[in-house]
Amino acid sequence: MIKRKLHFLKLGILFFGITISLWNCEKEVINIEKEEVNLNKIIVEEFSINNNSNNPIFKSILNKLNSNSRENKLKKNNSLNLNIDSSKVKKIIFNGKTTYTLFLENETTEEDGFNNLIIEIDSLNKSKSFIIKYLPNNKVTHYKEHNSYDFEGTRVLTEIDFNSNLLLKNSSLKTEVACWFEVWCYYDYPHLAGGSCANTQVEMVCSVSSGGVGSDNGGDTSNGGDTSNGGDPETGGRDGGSGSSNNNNNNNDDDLIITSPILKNCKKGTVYNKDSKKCECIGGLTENASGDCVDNYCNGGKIYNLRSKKCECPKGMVEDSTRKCVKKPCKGDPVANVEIAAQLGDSGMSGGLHNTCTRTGIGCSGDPSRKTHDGVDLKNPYGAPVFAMYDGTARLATQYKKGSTIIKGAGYHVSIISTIDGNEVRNVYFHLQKDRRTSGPVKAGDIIGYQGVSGNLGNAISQGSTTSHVHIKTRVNGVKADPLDYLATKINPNTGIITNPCN
Amino acid sequence: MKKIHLIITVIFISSYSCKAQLNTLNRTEYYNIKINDVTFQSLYDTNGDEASMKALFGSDLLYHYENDILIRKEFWKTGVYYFDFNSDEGDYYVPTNIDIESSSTTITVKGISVKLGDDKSIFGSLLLNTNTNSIIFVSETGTSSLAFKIDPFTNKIIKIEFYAF
Repeated sequence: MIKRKLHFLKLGILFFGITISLWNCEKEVINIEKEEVNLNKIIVEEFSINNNSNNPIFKSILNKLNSNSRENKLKKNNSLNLNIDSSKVKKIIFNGKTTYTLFLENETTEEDGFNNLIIEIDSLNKSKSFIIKYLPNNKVTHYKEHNSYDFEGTRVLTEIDFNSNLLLKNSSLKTEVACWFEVWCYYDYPHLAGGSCANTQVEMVCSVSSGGVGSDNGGDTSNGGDTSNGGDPETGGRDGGSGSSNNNNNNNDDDLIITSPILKNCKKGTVYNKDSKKCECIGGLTENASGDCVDNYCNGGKIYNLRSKKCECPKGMVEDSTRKCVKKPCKGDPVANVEIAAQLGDSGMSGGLHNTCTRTGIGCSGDPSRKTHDGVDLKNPYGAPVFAMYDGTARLATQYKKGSTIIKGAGYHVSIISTIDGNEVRNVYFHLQKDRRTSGPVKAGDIIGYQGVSGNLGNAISQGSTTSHVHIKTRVNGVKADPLDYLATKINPNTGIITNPCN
Repeated sequence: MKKIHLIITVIFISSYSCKAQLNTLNRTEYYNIKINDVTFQSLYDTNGDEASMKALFGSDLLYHYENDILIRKEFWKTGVYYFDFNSDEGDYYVPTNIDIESSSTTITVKGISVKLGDDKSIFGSLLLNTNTNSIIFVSETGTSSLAFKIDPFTNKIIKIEFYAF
């Protein structure tokens, strides 16, 4: 009994220790928490500065900033030299406050940084202006898996005096904690930037920094989904609104400045390329003669890779002969989703298996009046890739009718010789398409050809005797062997039932 | 009750129409197929031997042997007929392709003698494979077929081909 109590006491101490450790850890790491925010309270609008319905206070401040910039830019050392791009304004109304965000054309000293002007008007018509600098640590990152463009870096918020057009000294954020909202807009699939926002999620992101301004570690939206500045073209463009608090109380809405960054006022479907200093079509889109971005090649389930500037299949998929992305098989399997292709006649499943007495002829050990089926038939739809099971050397071959180009029997095929456990293993893949077959050194998992109907397979399918399949024959040191022994997916050689899927 | 009958009828018709339209030959019928006067049994019995084939089809039969990825023997008379025998390991050879290329060659199946250019009516009520517009005879294994392709406009037999898979 005493031992038992001691045991519970030890467990209690252990849990207490873990809790303390976690508590301490929490203070040091970026803390990202989702908040339930009533989306009805947030209104996001986009408009041109020439729109007459603009708030007069906003217009007045903007006019002051513009005129002061022109008049004073050479007179005062600390004067602002704002070159406001007024062709687009993002207006966000939240909790009685309205913020207007505009892109600043000023060249920043930082290579990749960009500036926004924020004008904030509260419910009592009190107004403030800020410049927010977005300073990426690295270049904008492209995340291939969800095809989004993220920003990691620092945001510096500096209040400005729009009356005197001066930077307000010591007004930069010097807080230990900076928080902002991120409004994520997930678009319907398939999405071209500019599509409608299907679901919106608001997250409050808090960043811990030591004495400086908030260090942004939560994906920025500058390049990530704003309908004019980027956005995931296929899976999830998003529109970001963010606001920074200027004190330590990250729940105090009064101190939040909500903004939605504008990287560059590029037209819909384009993103600003800092290298070329041009607005360029975003992932998967190309510019047509009219200057519009059109989706003319990133289809078939592909994703645009910003680095390679190519449409590519997502991880775990490869392109088939029709340029669609299809599942890649396990290494060692010649096709995705390994399954025996049964004969549609009486032989059924056994007709697709190796060494079964299912063919008309002679020489089958179980039935001398029959011929064995040499190899296995694995289901594979027309056009789907066929993959090398092992590293080896590939050679192309074709069964022609003598003296002609008419294809017979096994059709177009690829033979691969591999060395496995010191044995020479030859796997031959039959009934492929003529083109895009591979010869020479190959690695396991390489595409060696595409499923066709060459040889007698086409006749067999059209008469309804079987379905599309790749026929595989195996020879080990020149002797007939069961290809199933060399697949990653394990199949019962007698029943054709999968006994151990590879994944 | 009427509804049930109707459903059963629809299912029956559907399953019938989905079924492969093939004319199955029993073993005797299959080995009794004749190319001119040579039965399939005799053809299989040659085991692809050159001398035996020439004894059946004439000494002017051309011959080619290949032993690479595939092991095969081809025999042909240009513009008349073509035979392709394949073997798994070089011991047993079975025909995998036969093309009849001339109306001078007669094929007899199920007692019906057919030549290129004949009208499809020669087959009477035998099943027409609508996918290929052919009269197809298959062995009991379902993996060897003799197909007579019909021209859809003239109803004439335009191709006679044997294939195994």
